[in-house]
Amino acid sequence: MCNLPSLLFRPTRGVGSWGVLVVVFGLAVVPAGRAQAPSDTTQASSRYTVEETGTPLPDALDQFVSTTGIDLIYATKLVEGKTTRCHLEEALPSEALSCLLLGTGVMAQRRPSGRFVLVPRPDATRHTLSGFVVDAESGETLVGANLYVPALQRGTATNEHGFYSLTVPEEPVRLVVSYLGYEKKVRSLTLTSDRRLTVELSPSAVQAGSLKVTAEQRPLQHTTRTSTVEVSAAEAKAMPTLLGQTDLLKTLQRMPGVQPGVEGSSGLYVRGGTPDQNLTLLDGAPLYNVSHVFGFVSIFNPDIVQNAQLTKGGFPARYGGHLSSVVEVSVEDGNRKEFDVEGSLGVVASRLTVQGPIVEDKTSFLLSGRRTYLDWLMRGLSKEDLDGGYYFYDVNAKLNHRFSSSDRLFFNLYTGDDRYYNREDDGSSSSSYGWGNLTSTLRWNHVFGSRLFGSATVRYSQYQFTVKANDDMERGTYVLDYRSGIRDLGLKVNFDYDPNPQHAVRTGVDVTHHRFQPGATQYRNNSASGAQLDTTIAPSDPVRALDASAYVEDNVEWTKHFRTNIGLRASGFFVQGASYLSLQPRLSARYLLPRNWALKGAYAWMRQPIHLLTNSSVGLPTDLWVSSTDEVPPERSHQVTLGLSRSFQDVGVDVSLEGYGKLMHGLIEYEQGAAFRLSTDAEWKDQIETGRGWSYGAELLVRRTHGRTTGWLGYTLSWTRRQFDALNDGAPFPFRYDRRHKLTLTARHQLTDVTSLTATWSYRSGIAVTLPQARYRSPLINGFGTRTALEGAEDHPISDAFFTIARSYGERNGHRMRPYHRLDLGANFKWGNAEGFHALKTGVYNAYNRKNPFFLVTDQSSNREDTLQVRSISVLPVVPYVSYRFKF
Amino acid sequence: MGGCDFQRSVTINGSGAPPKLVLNSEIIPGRPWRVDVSRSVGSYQAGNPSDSTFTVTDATVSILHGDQEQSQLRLDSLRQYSARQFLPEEGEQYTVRVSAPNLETATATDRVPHMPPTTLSSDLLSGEQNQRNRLLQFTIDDPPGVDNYYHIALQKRAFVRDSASIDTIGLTDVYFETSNRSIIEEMRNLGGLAESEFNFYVGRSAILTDVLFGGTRHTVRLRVNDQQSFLRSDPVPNDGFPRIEYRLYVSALSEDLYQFLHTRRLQNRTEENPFAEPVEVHSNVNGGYGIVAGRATDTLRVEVEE
Repeated sequence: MCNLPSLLFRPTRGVGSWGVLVVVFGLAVVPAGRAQAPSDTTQASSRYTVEETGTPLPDALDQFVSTTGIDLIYATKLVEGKTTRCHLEEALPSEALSCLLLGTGVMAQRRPSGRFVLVPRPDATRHTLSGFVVDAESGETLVGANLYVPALQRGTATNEHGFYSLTVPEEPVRLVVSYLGYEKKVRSLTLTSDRRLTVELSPSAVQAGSLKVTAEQRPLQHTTRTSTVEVSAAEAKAMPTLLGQTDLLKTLQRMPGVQPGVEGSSGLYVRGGTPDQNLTLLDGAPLYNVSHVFGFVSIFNPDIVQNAQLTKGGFPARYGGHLSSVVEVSVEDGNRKEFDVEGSLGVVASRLTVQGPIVEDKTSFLLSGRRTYLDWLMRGLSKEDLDGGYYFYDVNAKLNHRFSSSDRLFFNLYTGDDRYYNREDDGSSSSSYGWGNLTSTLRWNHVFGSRLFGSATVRYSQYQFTVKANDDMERGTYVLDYRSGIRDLGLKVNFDYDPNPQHAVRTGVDVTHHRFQPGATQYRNNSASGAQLDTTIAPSDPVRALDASAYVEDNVEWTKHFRTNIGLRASGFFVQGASYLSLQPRLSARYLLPRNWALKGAYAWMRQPIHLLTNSSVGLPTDLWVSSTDEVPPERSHQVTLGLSRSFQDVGVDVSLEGYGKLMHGLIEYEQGAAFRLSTDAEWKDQIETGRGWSYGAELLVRRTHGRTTGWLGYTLSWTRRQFDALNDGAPFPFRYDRRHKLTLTARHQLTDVTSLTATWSYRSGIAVTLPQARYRSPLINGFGTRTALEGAEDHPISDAFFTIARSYGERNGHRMRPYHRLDLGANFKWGNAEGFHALKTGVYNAYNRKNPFFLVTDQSSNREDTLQVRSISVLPVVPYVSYRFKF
Repeated sequence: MGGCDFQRSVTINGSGAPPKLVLNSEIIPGRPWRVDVSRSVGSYQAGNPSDSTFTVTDATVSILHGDQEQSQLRLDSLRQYSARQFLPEEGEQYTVRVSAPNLETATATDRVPHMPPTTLSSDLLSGEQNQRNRLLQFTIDDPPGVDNYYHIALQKRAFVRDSASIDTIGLTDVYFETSNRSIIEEMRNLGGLAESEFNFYVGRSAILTDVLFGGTRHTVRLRVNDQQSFLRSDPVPNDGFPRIEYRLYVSALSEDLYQFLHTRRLQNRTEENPFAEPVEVHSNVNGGYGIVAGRATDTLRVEVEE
């Protein structure tokens, strides 16, 4: 039987059983005896998996008939010379037949007798199904929900506004709609015209409200997107965390390709990039500093976040302006059906969210806030008159109104601040440091028709760091006021257009006016003696820049096996008379391999005209956002990715293996020893060095998204280097977060309806640091240029001076700290009913008390040998936590 | 509980870099040659390189003017290598070459800068007690076409003068305040950041970079307090009040010397900060460490009555 087609049928029936109908063609030799069909395969509940690599249609139909027992009539001439290609899992017989006939010009008609007759397919009549996918309880739109027609192997996902459009032939189809954390919905429908359909999904069937992720995702192999991971708020809430503070960004840190910064910080270092190279979007509005508490808590309030999606490579043309990643955080719209109050009490902070309808099914609102209270506690507990401390707060407000099924208006506001303050009781002096974001958007969504969706957004955002001090003394008063920051005003218009099933076009324009203030200090001094000073020190005037871009991308289905997303982004950055124009091509491609594995590749050219100047390894407010100028060009990167992926839907496991390479140009760093200063006449651009960097590696993600036990294994193997002419003698050196290995194991088991157990274990190679390699005699420079003796003495020549010791350092970042590893354990309890719940989260961070290095200190040894010693300092030992949430 | 032990020693593989020659010297016009020669030590090896046991006493130290060897220096009583028969001159370039057994030969080259014309004047300001009541105006004619770096340091000498002699009764460093932040790099300030972070600088010495006044005459205004006291002997009866002389030491620095002073100060600042990227001290010594740098100096005096 060599070189003859061979068929293998193994259908079974019933949910939960393992049914496979495999059609194998090509060189494979399969004994005919294995092609047995059970006697019950004609029953409607049977499910079949069809897998083919191209076979004569008559043979496939013969085998189909013999396996299913379906009565099928057709003219031999109609099918002769035609081949079929079909991959389909767990399909009904009618769907399997449709799949076999796809692309052959033949269609099946079912007669009243139950018999199927094959007839020539008339010119394809297609209709478009469009609408929104919403939460059945709250009516809120769901971003990124999957819609999939198994028989057609065609699907789509809702866009960032919850809208979808899917064109299907005029024949019976089964539509599967799913979303992480929700029960999937299956609908059978036959379109005879374009139709608008709002699909309501219910949160996963959980008793007492505990989370059970059961939805099936659109198979990885069916999308062209690469390097993308998604985390739901529910997943993040279930994780064991430091002090019980749920943090979406820290959950993303556990994904492959993402390196955390120092322990506890929420910074994302994606594929060798830096945190400023991440485009962070809160409901589409960009944010600059996305953390509180000096980088240790992200600004995203987990109670109102729907999900977060991280794109590490293969960027579609719709994204631009940053080199390394896109973090899209979607926030709930506000319950349109009933009022909800949700909150939490924690050791560090508490949160409260209120949402509900203003006009039922028309207008809804959401208001959420959180604040730390360490300053209040300290003041209450202090025996001294302490009036000072630190706190942060943030507020999210959202208002949306539905004018019709085609028009919606949204208003979003986020504002959050960190503040450190200190006041004298008598009010004579005070000082404060404050930093925070404010971003607001007004968005109009309009459905032009079943195939065209549009949105227009006006946004205003700012990030500001301020220092204020005043002192009222007998001799006079002084006031200091320092400000640095960035302010944006922008307009964005996007269109999603699905002209036919083979194309999905997205296009749009985005114009932003930036105003950068790298730092200005106003100083006023009113002296009792009459001398007055009122002056502003600013190294330069505020920099104004216009950032304009337009993009178009088309998701093209060339064949059932080959799909691409081809895009082009044109952008211009106009600043100080300089124009930086660029055309950035983007390409993602997917080729479907045998056995449902997808080979995916992507290329993206990115450009970033905004830089972050920092010399800290955490997110400090003193980090300065600065613009490209006529002297400092934008950063650029090229990234390629290549990988394999597949979803094993029967067991709910996604597997993804990717390699990547990224080259970055125009990176900037402070020159040696330069740092933020409260007041300086030195221009920041005179204190920087420019260089390049590159990163390459491989990432593996095995993730289970449904069942009682969920979780993932993520592994990263990577290399990241930097090269600056003025640093390390011009030689390439490892990036600080160049970790060779990173392994994360995360598991969550739903023990009972109330109780779930969670555990995560992380391992990562030590970060790179610079250590001294030699010590030598060096003149003490304090007395330089002056005399110590009286008459006749010469001023200090270096060789006469007192000597001290200088250090010579080896290769920059040439030493590695100890590897980092940590186990976190948690137990979550959640009980209640459909109206509300109580949730208790408890556990332990760093369960086996690993002394992970936070930083190294190099100092003189305490012994008498005058040698240097290096000590590793740890800051986070075993830390238990407990937190409580409620909703009613 | 072990959870409270937050630090541990780290074992570093190897002891660090092998020893190299360390040269420290200045090339000042009209001053004798003097070169300090020592050897370095690996960071994690025992020993204090600032003490005399690290001085290299069997080195051969040569001075080259252009390609011509001008002199060999000899080890003197201060255990440094010196020579008086050949003095450096302004504008000339010299090379110091040092070889020693079992150590790589080290060389360093620098040019002695020119000292431009400078003047210093004094004016009394109206103000209350304990305020900076005197204005010293230092003017420099910066030559065009080259990047120059200047160092200034201020001292005050109190003295009494009679018909037969002048007796100095005290010499002390003086804090000055200046608004010329744009050209000032601090060297020694008050120690706190607060004042120097505003738009003026308070310190006892500073480096001026000529980025903003290259090739022009520029005046730097230094405000000082005449009342700033220093230890002095009891008032001398019948000899009138002591007189005060402000002394401004002005040095024209070579770029290597400027870079050395700049980075040395930065290393001092950053080496105790575990989050700061370490700073490598600038060296112009090939094959070794240290600084051999040209400098021209001038001392400006202005006499006032206390």
